Amino acid sequence: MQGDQVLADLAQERGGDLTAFAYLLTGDLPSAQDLVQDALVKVFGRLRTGFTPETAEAYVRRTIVTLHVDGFRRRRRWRGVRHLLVSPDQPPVDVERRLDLRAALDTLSPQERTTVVLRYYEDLPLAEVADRMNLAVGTVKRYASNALHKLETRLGPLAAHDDDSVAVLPARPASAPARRS
Amino acid sequence: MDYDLHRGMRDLGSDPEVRATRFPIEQLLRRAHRRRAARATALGAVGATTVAALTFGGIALIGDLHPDPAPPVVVPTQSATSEPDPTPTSAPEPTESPFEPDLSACGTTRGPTMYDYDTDLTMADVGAPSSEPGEDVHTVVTFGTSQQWAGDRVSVAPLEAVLTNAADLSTSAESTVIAVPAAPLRAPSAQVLIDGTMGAPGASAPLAMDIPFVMCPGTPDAGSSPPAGSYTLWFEGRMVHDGTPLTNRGAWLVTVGAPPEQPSVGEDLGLPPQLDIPAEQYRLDLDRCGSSTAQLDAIAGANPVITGGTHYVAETSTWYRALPSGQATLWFRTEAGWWADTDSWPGPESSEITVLDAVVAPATPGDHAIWGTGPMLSSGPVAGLLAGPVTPFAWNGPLSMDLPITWCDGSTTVPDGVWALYVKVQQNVSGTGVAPWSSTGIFWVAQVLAVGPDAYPGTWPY
Repeated sequence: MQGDQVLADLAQERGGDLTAFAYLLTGDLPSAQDLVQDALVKVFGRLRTGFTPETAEAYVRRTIVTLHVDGFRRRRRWRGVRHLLVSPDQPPVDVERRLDLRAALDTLSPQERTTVVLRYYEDLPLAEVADRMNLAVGTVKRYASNALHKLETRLGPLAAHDDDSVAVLPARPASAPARRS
Repeated sequence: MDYDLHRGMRDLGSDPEVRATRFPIEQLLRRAHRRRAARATALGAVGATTVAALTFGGIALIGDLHPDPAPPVVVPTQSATSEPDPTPTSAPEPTESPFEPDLSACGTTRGPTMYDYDTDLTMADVGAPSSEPGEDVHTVVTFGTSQQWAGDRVSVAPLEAVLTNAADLSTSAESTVIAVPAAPLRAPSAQVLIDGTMGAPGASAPLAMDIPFVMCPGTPDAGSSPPAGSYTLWFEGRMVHDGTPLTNRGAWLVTVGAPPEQPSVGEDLGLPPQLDIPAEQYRLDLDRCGSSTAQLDAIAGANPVITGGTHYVAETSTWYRALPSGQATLWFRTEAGWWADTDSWPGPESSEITVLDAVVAPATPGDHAIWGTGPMLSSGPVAGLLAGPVTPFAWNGPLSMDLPITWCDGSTTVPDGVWALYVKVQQNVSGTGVAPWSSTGIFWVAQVLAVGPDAYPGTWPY
């Protein structure tokens, strides 16, 4: 069956990319893998015609976002146990930066985090981010603004990009002073 | 130096451990197929129910087969500013006593005599995909009522669920419980009853459940989940309507793992493996494929022998489900109907109905079902055959059963379209009204089955 073949091809050839995308949303690998599999099953759990791996991947990515933002047991489960996990004592420098970013991303709400991943990992314009999240552009701008401010409190000033058009608003509430220069 | 968020995100997403993920494709395909099967069940139900409802002048729709979302998991949140409480008594921990399976049910028996507590509540399985060994057992239960309660809010709750070996529900034989739930049965939230119940007037609330089971002590797999095979699920549920609790039981087949393959005579034709029901050997008369329904046998159209001045016939409505094995199984519901000269007479005192045969043929608009008399439907060639034995039953009320149908062209699902299902019924029904009466005979009952949404092209031809 064509759908089964597309699923198999997609999981085999694009599984790593999809997992990386989900990993940035969830913050832990097992949950990311669960999320990708759930999305694959949901997309391919109905017969569709004319599916190619490319179009299917777009469906799967959108479904990953939907499943993530809808809020899930995996996220609750992760939050329930993550404080039990032990961090490496002396991580290498690049790993340390990854951990910093992971910790910073963990401070974001699901909507804020999804906005950041779609904007800064998928490189989507805000209008497209809003479309993927089924939200108004203004709402996404607010999420992005809040997210960037929270990230700055952990990571320091963020490098400005020409295509960045998100105005950083005061955090709510301001738990730490912004250090944007 | 300013933090480059683009670069940081890409770096985080390039973690080799993350990208090395390899997914279990076979397992994903199985999950996707199960999801498709569940959707097919729901969609097929829509088509079949619509036609059946038109027969009765109503509109019946099957509702959402998806279960309610699981109750939220309460995870104690930690407050960064909270101080450790020095007094243990003032810091109650949410404690849950671990669930202990109720093994006292093991070795007890269940039997058909345990059916039916409240006549206003029926309970039936509408088909669920088979479960994988080690997984929860899937089942879809319809809490139904013949009352016109559509739109009413009710609460439904599972009270008991146990497994026995696959049982012959047509006999009074008792079956021994071999598995009990390994976790508390989840009580779903309130449901809204929808029009129709299995093709008949009334209202219903379908409920999908996944139940973990543990095998009883003394069984070969004691302490484990049920191994691959067929089991009978004995289910007791309660529906509370307007403050009144209604309780009933039902029993139906559930399958763990792939259904057992049978040495099928249809293998040469590429027919799907048989059967879903506990099978005795059953010979498929494939020569009948393509023959006219008018030539089924000489009994077609024969009148039942009726004495005592009243009629009593079996009415049928149909359903279907597509099993994960690829076998298309029609769901056939026989309902003993009171066809008396006056409705003041009591119902039958005994009834025994045996399904002897069944075939499926294409139906066309204008065909109509005839109960017991007249010619067969002027439909086309036989396209599907009864593929397994159907045991007789004795019952004065609604009872549903599976009719496994093998499609002559090897189809693995019920094709969309309008089909006529012919069922050869032997009945022996008797009662006492103004005078003792009986109705005996062998005859064909025909019923139109619409498969797929919008399958039926127009108004019912009655």
